[in-house]
Amino acid sequence: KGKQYRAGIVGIERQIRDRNEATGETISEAFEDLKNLMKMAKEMVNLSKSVSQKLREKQSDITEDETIQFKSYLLSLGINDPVTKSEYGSGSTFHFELARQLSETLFKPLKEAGGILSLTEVYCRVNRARGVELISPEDLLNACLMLDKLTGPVKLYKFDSGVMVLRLKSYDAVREACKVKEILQEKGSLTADELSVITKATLVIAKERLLFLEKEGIACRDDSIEGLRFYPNRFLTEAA
Amino acid sequence: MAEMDFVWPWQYQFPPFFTIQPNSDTRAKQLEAWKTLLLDFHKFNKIYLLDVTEAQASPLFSNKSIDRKLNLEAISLILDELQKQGNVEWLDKQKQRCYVYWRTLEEW
Repeated sequence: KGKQYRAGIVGIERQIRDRNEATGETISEAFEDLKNLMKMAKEMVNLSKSVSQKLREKQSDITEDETIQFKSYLLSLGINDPVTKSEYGSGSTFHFELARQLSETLFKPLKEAGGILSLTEVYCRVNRARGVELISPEDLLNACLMLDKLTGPVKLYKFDSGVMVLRLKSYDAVREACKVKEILQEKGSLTADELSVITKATLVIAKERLLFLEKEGIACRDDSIEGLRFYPNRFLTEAA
Repeated sequence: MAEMDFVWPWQYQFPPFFTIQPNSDTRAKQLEAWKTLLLDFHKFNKIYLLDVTEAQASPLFSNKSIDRKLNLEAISLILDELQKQGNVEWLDKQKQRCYVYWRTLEEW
């Protein structure tokens, strides 16, 4: 700027060329910075690898403070390497603390939802409540995996279909199944969304409950263009 | 028509009968019922030849009153089971047509 350009087409062309050069410079500068940053990170990665090599030499018995600290270093770097690190320190202190916080804050919502919430719902609730400093799906999962080690009232449970839920310790799957069985007998047949309306549970959980009944041989399915309906299992209860 | 007098089992009015059940215990009972029904049906109507594509449309595998039909896969499954116990003999390699013996050959 401040440079005088001649009037006319040549002037305009020069002006455009100069501007392009300037933006090109800023871009390459930014990449240069990034490159430096990555180089530093790379060193850290190399260092952490050699540390984990050393850790392997020592056998792991109890969760040592060293490995815990190491784990949190790794986390702040954004490399997560649970395959080699799982033997040396069961997780990270951050996740452990997060798990503690989750089990406290989720107690009430879980109670209101009948003792069970799917993990995606939990994720929505937690992050909406937080507003800033959100947690990543991975953090949530890792924290939930540690819930078992806490003596808190909340537990992680995985269905056969792979759907993961948080349940209260007091949650009784068998009693829930009996309830659903009664509803099923009363209505004659049910789809997952009918059940979810009746029990005020989410669709995912309603479906899991019906599938559980099917697995136990209490219900059987009718799959047609009208949808997937579940009936009381008369095949097993009635003789031919 | 002779079919009219055929006594259908209770399962025939039960919609889940027309969906192959994923639960193994339930499926065993279901297939058992299907096998009995298939043999009884053929015995009653004195039919001994079954064409899989045609059978799909016959009242045996499609119940119009509850609007349910057994799909081809399931029909083949039942026929295969029957073949194992000697009640069905395939006429071609593509498993399209078969004889149905409501009594096994040894019994005859």
